[in-house]
Amino acid sequence: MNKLNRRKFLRNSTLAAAGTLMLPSFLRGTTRREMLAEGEKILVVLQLSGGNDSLNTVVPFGNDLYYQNRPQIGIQPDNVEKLDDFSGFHPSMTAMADLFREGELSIVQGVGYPNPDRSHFRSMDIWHTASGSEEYLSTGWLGRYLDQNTASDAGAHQAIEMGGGLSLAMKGVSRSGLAVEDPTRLYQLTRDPLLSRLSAHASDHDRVAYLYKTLADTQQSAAYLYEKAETAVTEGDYPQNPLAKQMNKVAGLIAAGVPTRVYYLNLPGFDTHVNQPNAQQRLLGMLSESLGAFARDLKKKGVWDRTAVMVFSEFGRRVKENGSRGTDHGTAGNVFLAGGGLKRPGFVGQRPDLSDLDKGDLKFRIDFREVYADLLRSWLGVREDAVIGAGFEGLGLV
Amino acid sequence: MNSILQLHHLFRRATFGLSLRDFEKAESKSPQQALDRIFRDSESFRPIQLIKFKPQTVNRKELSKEERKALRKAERQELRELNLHWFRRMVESPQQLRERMTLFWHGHFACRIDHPAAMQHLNNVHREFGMGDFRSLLLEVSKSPAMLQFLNNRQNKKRQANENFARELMELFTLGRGNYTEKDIREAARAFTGWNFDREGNFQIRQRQHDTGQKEFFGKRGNFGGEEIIDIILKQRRCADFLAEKLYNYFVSPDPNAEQIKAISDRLWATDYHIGKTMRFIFSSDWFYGEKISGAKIKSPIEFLVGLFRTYEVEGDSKELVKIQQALGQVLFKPPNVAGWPGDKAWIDSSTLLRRLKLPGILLGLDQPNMRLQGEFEEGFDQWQKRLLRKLNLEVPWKKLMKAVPADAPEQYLSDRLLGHPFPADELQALSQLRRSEYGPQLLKTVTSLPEYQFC
Repeated sequence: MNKLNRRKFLRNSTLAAAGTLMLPSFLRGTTRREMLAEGEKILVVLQLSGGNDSLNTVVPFGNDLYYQNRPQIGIQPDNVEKLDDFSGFHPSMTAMADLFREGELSIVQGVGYPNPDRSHFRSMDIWHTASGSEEYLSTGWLGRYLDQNTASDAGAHQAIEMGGGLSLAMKGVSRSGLAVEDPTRLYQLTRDPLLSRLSAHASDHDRVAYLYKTLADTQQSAAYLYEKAETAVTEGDYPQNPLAKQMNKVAGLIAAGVPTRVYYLNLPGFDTHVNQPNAQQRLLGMLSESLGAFARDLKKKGVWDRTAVMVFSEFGRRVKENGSRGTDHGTAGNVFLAGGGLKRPGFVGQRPDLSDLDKGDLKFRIDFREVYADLLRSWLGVREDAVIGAGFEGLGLV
Repeated sequence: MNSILQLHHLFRRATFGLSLRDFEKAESKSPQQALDRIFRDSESFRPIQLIKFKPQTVNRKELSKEERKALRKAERQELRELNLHWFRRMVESPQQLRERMTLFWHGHFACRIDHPAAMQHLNNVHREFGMGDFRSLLLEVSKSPAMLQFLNNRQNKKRQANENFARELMELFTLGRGNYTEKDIREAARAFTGWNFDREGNFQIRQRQHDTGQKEFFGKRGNFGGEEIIDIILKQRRCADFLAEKLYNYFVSPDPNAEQIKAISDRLWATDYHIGKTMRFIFSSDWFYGEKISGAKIKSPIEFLVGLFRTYEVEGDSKELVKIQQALGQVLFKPPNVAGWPGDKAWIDSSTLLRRLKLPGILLGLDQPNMRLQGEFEEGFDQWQKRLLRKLNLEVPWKKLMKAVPADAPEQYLSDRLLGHPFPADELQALSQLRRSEYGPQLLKTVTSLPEYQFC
C-alpha cells in the first residue's frame, strides 16, 4: 500500500498537528502509557452485523411511499417514536430518542459508497478496510490508525475488541487491536507457565521476533487489563443482555482511565430476510437500551464528553418488503453517532428519497469514509488521509 | 545448511511434514533423492468423490421458505464434510506435493460459493491440473461452474456484459493490477459472454448470449472467445513474472528476491508454464536452501494443523476441526474473498497466536483447562478448551513416537528437525523438573508449543 509509506513523516506531523498532550515516546519517563492523557478522546465502534434495515429504524412516517412499499411491515405513525414531523425511531428505541432530544445523537442518513456490494462479506470488508468497492485491502482502518499513531511499546490494548476474534477493521500491518472476551479469562489464559516463560524471550529473526513481541504484548496487556478491570466500577444500571454487559465493561475500563483509544463491539442478527418485525423489536431494543445505559453511566463517571459511539451496519435493505415479512439486502443506510461532544447533533444529510431509487435500492448520498474522516481527524486527532486516503473532507460531526 | 536440515526444510515446504517415526529412514537419503521420491509419489491423480452431484431440477426461487432453509442447512453440512475430508486427505495421502499444490491453487483461484458439488469439482480441477501446464489449469478453472457462478459470468451476456470474471482473471489470476487497460477488461468480458453451465453442471457456451463480434485485446484483433483471451494473456511475459512472484511468496519466502523470482519466471516461460517442472526447479535451486529461506514463512493455519497431525500421527476425526480452523483464521472452502488469504503476518494477532501456542497441548490431550479464578463461568477460551477435550477423539501413539527419538539429547534432535532453531535453555530447565513418565509427551508438546514451531 502506497499510503503507508508516509508513515514516518506523518508520525511527526501528527504530533504537531493534533495539538493534544500526547507525549512523543522519547519524552516519556515510562515506556508504557498508563493513563489517557488530558483531552484524549475515545471512540467506541458498534457494528450491527447482517445489514440493518434503516427504513424501519429511522421511519419516514411522513412519506406515503414508505407505506406503499411496506404494507405488512411498515411501522404505523402511532407506533413511531417521533423525532420530528416526518421521521422517528422504531418504537423500541425510546432511550435513543431521549439521547436525540438531548442533543447527544447524530443520525447520518444515506450513508453508503459507490458501486455497492450486497454480499455481507464484501460489504463488511469494505467498511472494515475503508476500501473502494473494487479494491481488496488486507488491513483495517483502525489497524492502520494503530500502525501510524501508536508507539510500538504503547501496549496491545490501545484498541480493544470485546469478543473472541479480531475483526479485520482492527488489523494493521505491524500493530493490531487486542481481542478480549473477558479480561479475567484472557489473563487466566496467559498465565500458562510455558507462555509466561516464552514471553521473556527475544529473537534475531524478524518474524520470530514479531511473534514473541505479540505474545509479550498480549501478556502485558492482559495483566494490565485484568488489574484495571478488577478495580473498575461496573455498577451502572444496565439491562440484561450480552451487548449491555460488554458496554458495562467498556465503561468500567474508560472510567479506570486505561489509555485505550478505540473499543470495538459487535451485535449480530440483523440479516432480516424473514420475520423482520420480531427481530428488529428485539435487536433495536437491545441496541437502544444498552446505548442509553452506557450514556447514563459515562455521564455519571464524567467521561461522556470524551466518548463517541459510532453505530453502523454493512448495508441497509431494499425499500420494498419481500414476501416473508422481511427485506432483502440493499445499499445505503444510517450511521449513528452518540456522545457528549458532538458538533452536529440531530439529522445529518438528506432524508432518503423513496422516489429516486436505483433498481429498488436507496441511493447513497454520503460516503462512509466521510464519517471515518471526522472521527480520525477531529476525534482521535490524527491524519485521516494516511489511514483512509485523501479527498474525504468530513462532515464536521465532531 | 547441512543435508539433514536441508531435507527437513524440503519436507516442510514440498509436503506437509514427516512423521517423527519416518525421520531416520528419510535421513538416509540425499535431498535430491528425497525430491525425486516426492515427485514420483505425486505422479498420479485421484479426485475427491465425496459429494454426489444433484442436478438442480427446480429453480431455488420456486422452493418454499422452509425448503430453501433446509437446503441451505444441508449444503453447509456437506461443505463441512468436504472440509474434513480434504483435511484428512492432506494428513494421510502419500501424494503430498500434489495436495500442497492443490492448497496453493485453492488460495490463488479463491472461490466461495455454497454449492458443495461445485466446490468439490473446482478442488479436483486444482488437483488434476495443478502440477501440469498452467494453460490447462487456467482454462479448466475458467470453465468450472464454481468460478463462473462466483464471478458472475452467468450474468455476462452479449450486449449486457458483466466484467467481474474478466477483471479478476487478469487482476488476481494472471497479470496483477495495472498490467492491462480497462478496455482490455471490457473486450475480454465480451469474449467470455455465454460461458455458462447446464443443469448437470457441465460447461456449455450459450451461443445466443455469446458476443461473436471483433474484439481488440492487448493490441490483437479477432473474433476472440475465452480460450483465445487466455492464450493472449499467457503470451504476455508479465504473466510468467506474476506467477513467479506468487510461487516465490508461497513456497520460498514472503520477502521477495528479484533475482530468484526472475529465475523462476524464466523457468516458467521456458517450459511453457509447466508448474511441475518449475516446482522441481525451485526445490533444486541452491538458493532455496539458503539460511534466510528456512524458517522464513509463518505457517498458514492449515499447514500448521496438518503438519502437527502428520508429525505426531494424530488419529481420529473431529468435527471440531472446522471450528479450530475458524479460530485460527483459515477455513477450507471459505476464503475471505476472491483475493484469497493475505497470509504472512496477517495470520497472527493476539487471539490467533495464543490459540496456536495452546493448541498442541490441547490436541495432544495434555493440557488441562485453566483453573478458573473466582467468578462466573462464561463462554471463554477455557470453556472452549473444555468442550474441545470432550469432543476431540484424537489419539497420539506416544510410546511409539518416543522410541523414534534418541535417548541422548532428544531436545536437540527435535529442535533441529522441527524448528531449525536451538531449544531454549529455560525450557530445558523446566522439562528437567518433570517426572520421567511425563517427560516424553511434555517434550513433544513443548517443541510444538514454541513460537519457532509456527515457522517453516
